[in-house]
Amino acid sequence: MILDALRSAWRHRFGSALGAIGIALAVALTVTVASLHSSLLGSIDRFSDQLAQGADVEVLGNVDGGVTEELAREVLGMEGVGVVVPMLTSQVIVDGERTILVGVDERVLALKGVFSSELLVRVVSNLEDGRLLFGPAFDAEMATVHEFYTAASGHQEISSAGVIEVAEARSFNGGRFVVTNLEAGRRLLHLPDRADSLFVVGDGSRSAHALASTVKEKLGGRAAVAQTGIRVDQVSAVADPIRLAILLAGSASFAIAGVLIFDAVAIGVERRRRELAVLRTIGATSRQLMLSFMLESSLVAIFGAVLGASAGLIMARITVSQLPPFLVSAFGVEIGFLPAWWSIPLTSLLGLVIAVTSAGIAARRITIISPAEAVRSADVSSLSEKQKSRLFLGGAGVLSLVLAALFALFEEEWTGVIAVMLVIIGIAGIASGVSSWFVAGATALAVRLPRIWLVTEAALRSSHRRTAVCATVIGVALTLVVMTDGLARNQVETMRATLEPLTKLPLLVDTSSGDEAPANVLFPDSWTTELDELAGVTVTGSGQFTFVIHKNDRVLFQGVSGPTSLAPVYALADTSVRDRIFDENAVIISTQFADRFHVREGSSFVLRTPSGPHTVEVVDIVPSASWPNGLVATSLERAQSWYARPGVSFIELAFDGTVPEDAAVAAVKEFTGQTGFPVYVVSGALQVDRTAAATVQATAALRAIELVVLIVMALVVLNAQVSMIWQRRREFALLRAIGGRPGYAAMTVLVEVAAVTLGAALLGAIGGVWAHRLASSIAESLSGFPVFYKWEFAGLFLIIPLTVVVACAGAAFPAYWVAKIRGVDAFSEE
Amino acid sequence: MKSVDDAASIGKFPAAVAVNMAAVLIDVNKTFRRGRDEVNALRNVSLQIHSRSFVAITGPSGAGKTTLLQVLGGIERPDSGKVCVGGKDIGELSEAERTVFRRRNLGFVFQFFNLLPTLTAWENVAVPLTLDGARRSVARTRAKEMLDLMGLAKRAEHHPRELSGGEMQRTAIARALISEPALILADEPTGNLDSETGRSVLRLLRQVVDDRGGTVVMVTHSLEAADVADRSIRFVDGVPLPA
Repeated sequence: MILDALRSAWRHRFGSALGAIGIALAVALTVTVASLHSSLLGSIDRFSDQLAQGADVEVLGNVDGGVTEELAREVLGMEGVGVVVPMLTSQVIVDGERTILVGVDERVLALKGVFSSELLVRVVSNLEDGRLLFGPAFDAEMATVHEFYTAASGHQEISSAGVIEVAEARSFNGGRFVVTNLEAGRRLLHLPDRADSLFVVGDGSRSAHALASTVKEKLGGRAAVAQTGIRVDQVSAVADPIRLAILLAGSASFAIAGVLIFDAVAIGVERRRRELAVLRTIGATSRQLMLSFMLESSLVAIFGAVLGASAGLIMARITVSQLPPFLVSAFGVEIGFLPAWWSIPLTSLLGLVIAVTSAGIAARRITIISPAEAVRSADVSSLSEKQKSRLFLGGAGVLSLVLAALFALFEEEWTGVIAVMLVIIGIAGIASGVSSWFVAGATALAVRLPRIWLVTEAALRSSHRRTAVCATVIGVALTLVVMTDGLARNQVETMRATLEPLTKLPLLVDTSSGDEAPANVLFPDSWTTELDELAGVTVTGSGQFTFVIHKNDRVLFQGVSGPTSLAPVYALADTSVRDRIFDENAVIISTQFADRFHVREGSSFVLRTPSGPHTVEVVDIVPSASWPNGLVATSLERAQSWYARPGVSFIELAFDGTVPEDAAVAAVKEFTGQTGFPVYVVSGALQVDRTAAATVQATAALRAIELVVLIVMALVVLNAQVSMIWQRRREFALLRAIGGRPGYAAMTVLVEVAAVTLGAALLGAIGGVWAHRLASSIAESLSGFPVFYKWEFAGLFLIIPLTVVVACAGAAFPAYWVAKIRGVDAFSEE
Repeated sequence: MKSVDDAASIGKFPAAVAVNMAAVLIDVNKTFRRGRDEVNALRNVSLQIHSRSFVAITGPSGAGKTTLLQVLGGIERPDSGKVCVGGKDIGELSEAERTVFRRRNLGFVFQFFNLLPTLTAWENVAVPLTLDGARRSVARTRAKEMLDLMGLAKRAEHHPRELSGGEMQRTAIARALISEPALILADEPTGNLDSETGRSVLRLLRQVVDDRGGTVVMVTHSLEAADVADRSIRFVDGVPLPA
């Protein structure tokens, strides 16, 4: 039976291929997203696990600067605490690349991580200053001198005391780390008494959750406290919305795969009608025949799932290696490829269920095949299709749009999602409902075509069902593509808008290349004076970025040196109030921060800092696309003192005209080059361009959705046209027999597709423009970044012709096929 | 007996002779492959079909009758031999040239009518004209005139599903005649009709020869249909036998 089904699938390989492609696309998309998500979270989780397996609670500093030994002692004195393990896990620069410096002492033996080895502790305890154990990513010859930098310590030279070669070490941050003992690490960093994390092991008297609550309560906000895995939670907050958005696209792909299989089986039933009638005559039951179709489809689905899972894993592997730098740099952990193996059986099973269900529904037509058809001759009149009224669908579509408008009024996230869904459903309904108008329009166009007008007219008159299918799919596809294109363009423009003040900056000395999150690395404060003394340049401002923990969320903190700074958030704020940040405990916050933590202009909130809690007043709220959880800006002086972080992340320079600009830039580059820091010296405009380019990269997910939507649209057009040609093959054969050129029939296919696509595309574009408007606020919630809505006309100019071209590409094979039909077929009965 | 002769009786067919014929076949062979078997549909067939004649091709199934029609119509190329229609060696024409040749010089009538179900009767009749670039108004006038001749003036706006079998076949004949072809090729034109309707269709084809000066080559199983023809040629295993 399976062999028969395989043979049948092969015999109808075109339909089988369509169904398999549909399932493969859906499985591939879902496996990619799941694997990407598991790689992100898994890498962070593995990082935490390798550091501190066995710990019940992790205490992190409210800033990336960490916590003190005094705090460690305080935690150790708390009820339920057995051991407190302080560790350094600082980002440093070794040989120009970000590396993790791990500092441990014998207390680490209370844990079960990579560094909880007696031998390792013994070795690092006896290391001389300046000699470290290197991770396996380094080709560390003992004699080689390595360059080491941090903001506090500046440039130092270190050398290798050996390379850790154990297998687990390779998976810890990709093997890119150096290890020393806690005290030596502190001296190296010039941060006495510091640790990045305290890992707490309970005495067994209470659960990890209860222990975390106790420690959190006692510390009263002086540090972030959570059960281990706090980093994973933070990543989840950023990654989950992306996953949600793409999983929605995956679900849509499964639905479309179901439609493709339904169509393939429906065509199969139609093609084999006579054969099925014969089988019915000789005693086969409808159920047996339906089961054969369902078995065939399940084999096709299995094939598609295998194909899709393989493609998904490859796509995920590529995507992980191409992750946007801002995401990777923000968490300071190397993201490895960790496939979500569970997603393969799950999505395959889902694909199988959808395939079998779709096939079962389509194969129900078998029940209406009468055994009498086996002895009846072909009847041309049976091929004629009566136009059915679809106005009720159009009415339902209009109703959906009205409801969408009502839901949009509420301006809530969930009502926005419903509104967008209703717009899509509405466009689908209207496109299907008015598809007969597209036929009329296309017919009006067709009668003007020389030679093929009547043939095209004939094709169009038989096209109501397939026109409705094509119009619906094309309309919905356009709605989605116009919406996502608008969102993608808006995101890039938003990023440009929020960084706009920087474009006026002649020269910027930055720790970040523009496509990364602001780095933890800081330049020494002395640089501002030294750069100011260089011929041809004047320092106009400087500032510091750091990630701080606010209510367990990772928030970006900005310190600004003075009123002449063009630092984006500060420079975008209201000029009448922004300078208050230099005089009092005041901050400027981003809209993200305001929404996430429910803070309003004029209100106050408490910032927990290593120097204690500080109540700050919000003087202005500025739209900023800097970080999903939001940004807080205050004066550089406060940022440095509150968080005990000397140094600056960026220095703003202007040319004073005393020397040519090229010479001034060369002088700045020479100065920074000598320091050995990874420094980016660029114009403000170039920095903005780089950030915009990184944003374009980040919108790749939206572009991927557009691509999938367009491919599926082309497949549906292909399927509909193939179905049409199969039904009308005798007509085309007749045309060839009586002297119609092959191109005439092919042209009818293309004219029909072009006309219907154009009509549906215009309708879809209208829906897309509306959906784009509605989706802007949802995208803001999903991506975490603000999206300034702007009507994007340029995209429409590109998308509508592109859609027509893609749809015609989908019709290219049917057009080719129809041109190959021979006149001989007009003589045969079948 | 006046219109069909054995080719051998006139030797090797000088071109001048062929011109006077509606169609001439010389040593035509056509073989098909069915699975692993080869089927000789036509074996060394030589025929001449005089202008203004009605020729019936009879024979059992698989004798090569329909293949002969397809070769005459330029739909199938012979493996060897010559096929001249209206004085033109269609074997020398390209695929595109044969397509245009069929459109302007040949008319086809099929057993299953092969009407386009979405077109009305007059539109079906007009299809060959439109393929040749005729304007809608011209095509409609000519098609309706033709339907009038077939006695179908009142059915011009009806779709095939609204016509009887006889009306559908008469519409198909009107379509075959609208380009005023020299040769009509009919494949079992009465095979799907009741005997009375079949007879009326045969009368119509007869009129094409007698009144309009056309030439009809008709493939049929029916002896009654063959009786209407001027000459019958019986095909057996791809070889024509004198009746």
